[in-house]
Amino acid sequence: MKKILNGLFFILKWILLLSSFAVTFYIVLSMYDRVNKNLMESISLFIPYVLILILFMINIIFKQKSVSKNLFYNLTCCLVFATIIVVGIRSIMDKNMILNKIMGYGINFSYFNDFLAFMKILLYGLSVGNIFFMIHEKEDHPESTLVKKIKINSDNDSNIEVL
Amino acid sequence: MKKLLIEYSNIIAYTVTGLVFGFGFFLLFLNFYHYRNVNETYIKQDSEMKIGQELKNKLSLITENISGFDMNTYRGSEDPYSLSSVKSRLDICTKKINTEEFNTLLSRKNIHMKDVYDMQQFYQVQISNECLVKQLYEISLTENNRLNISSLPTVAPFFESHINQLINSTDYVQKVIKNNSSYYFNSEVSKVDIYNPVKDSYYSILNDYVSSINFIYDLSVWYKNVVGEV
Repeated sequence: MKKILNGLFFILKWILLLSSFAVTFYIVLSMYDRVNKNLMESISLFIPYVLILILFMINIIFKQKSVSKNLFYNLTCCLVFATIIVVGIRSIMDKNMILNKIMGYGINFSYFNDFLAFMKILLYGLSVGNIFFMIHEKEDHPESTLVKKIKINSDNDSNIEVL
Repeated sequence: MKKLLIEYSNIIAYTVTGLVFGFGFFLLFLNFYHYRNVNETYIKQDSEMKIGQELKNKLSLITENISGFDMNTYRGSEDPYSLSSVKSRLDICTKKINTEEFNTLLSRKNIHMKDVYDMQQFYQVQISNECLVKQLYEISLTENNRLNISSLPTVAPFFESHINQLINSTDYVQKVIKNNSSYYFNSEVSKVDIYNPVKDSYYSILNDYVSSINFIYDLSVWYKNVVGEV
């Protein structure tokens, strides 16, 4: 059961990461376009996304099970990305927020802008958590454990049977 | 030593992730709560739906009241050009108000905050600016009034005070409603200050609609009396 949930959250984590990045990018692009600002100035908003993407890639490449098989961490990632998506969608779709209408761009920039600081905190938090989860005791391969046991036994007992 | 460090890093990792989980969870559900508050709906009673119809009837009566004057056939003692000017002003006023948007706004059964804002905007632009200020304010001038109607100096101060009162009445509603669009840590206080006013603001603006149309109706009755159709 835990394995299935882990697999589910692992896939969901990637989908939600890409979706939340897309929503953030779209809103920030519209926001900067509206005030005629250079998009390069918004890079600081996307650094946490890049950082977390790099860390996720490292987790996969180096097969770090302590992170990628961590149910709590995967669940937290899904929750954070889902929150970003909900805020983004509300900024675009919640027409009862009056500034959405007044600004005339179909997006409530004010609402999303207020959330940006929280978004950074959440994403940097996930990155820090990921780095600390990477530090763990090296897992022994089952076969190498067997060899070790045989070695220990062979030191004590010369009449060892080959398993 | 190495084992201790690993254990500590594990503790820090779970603590940081736990804090992120808690904060993310809080923000997610805060959003749902905010959504509920922002989308608060007021459902109108059947009796309230009649107000819209009554206002439309009043607008028809205004058109009727001013239709009696014809500049070519008028034989009264008042200046026909002044009467014609008042007629055209009242006619423009009625046409500015009696629109498709006006009918849509008043026939809505469920009132959201957006609808209250739309009503306020319609009032500000069409009724207050286009009708009361641009068309009727000149009638109410007590000095340098170019309209030459004998009873006008008597009623003009009444018109002026009424118009001044009507053009200022809905400003505060707009300011309150705009506050619903920022990222609030919702509390009961913010709920009372920002979200509950849907119903109150609706009534406040509707009351302005009724007062304005009643005022224009009174003006049209005065006009009808001046023309001498009664």
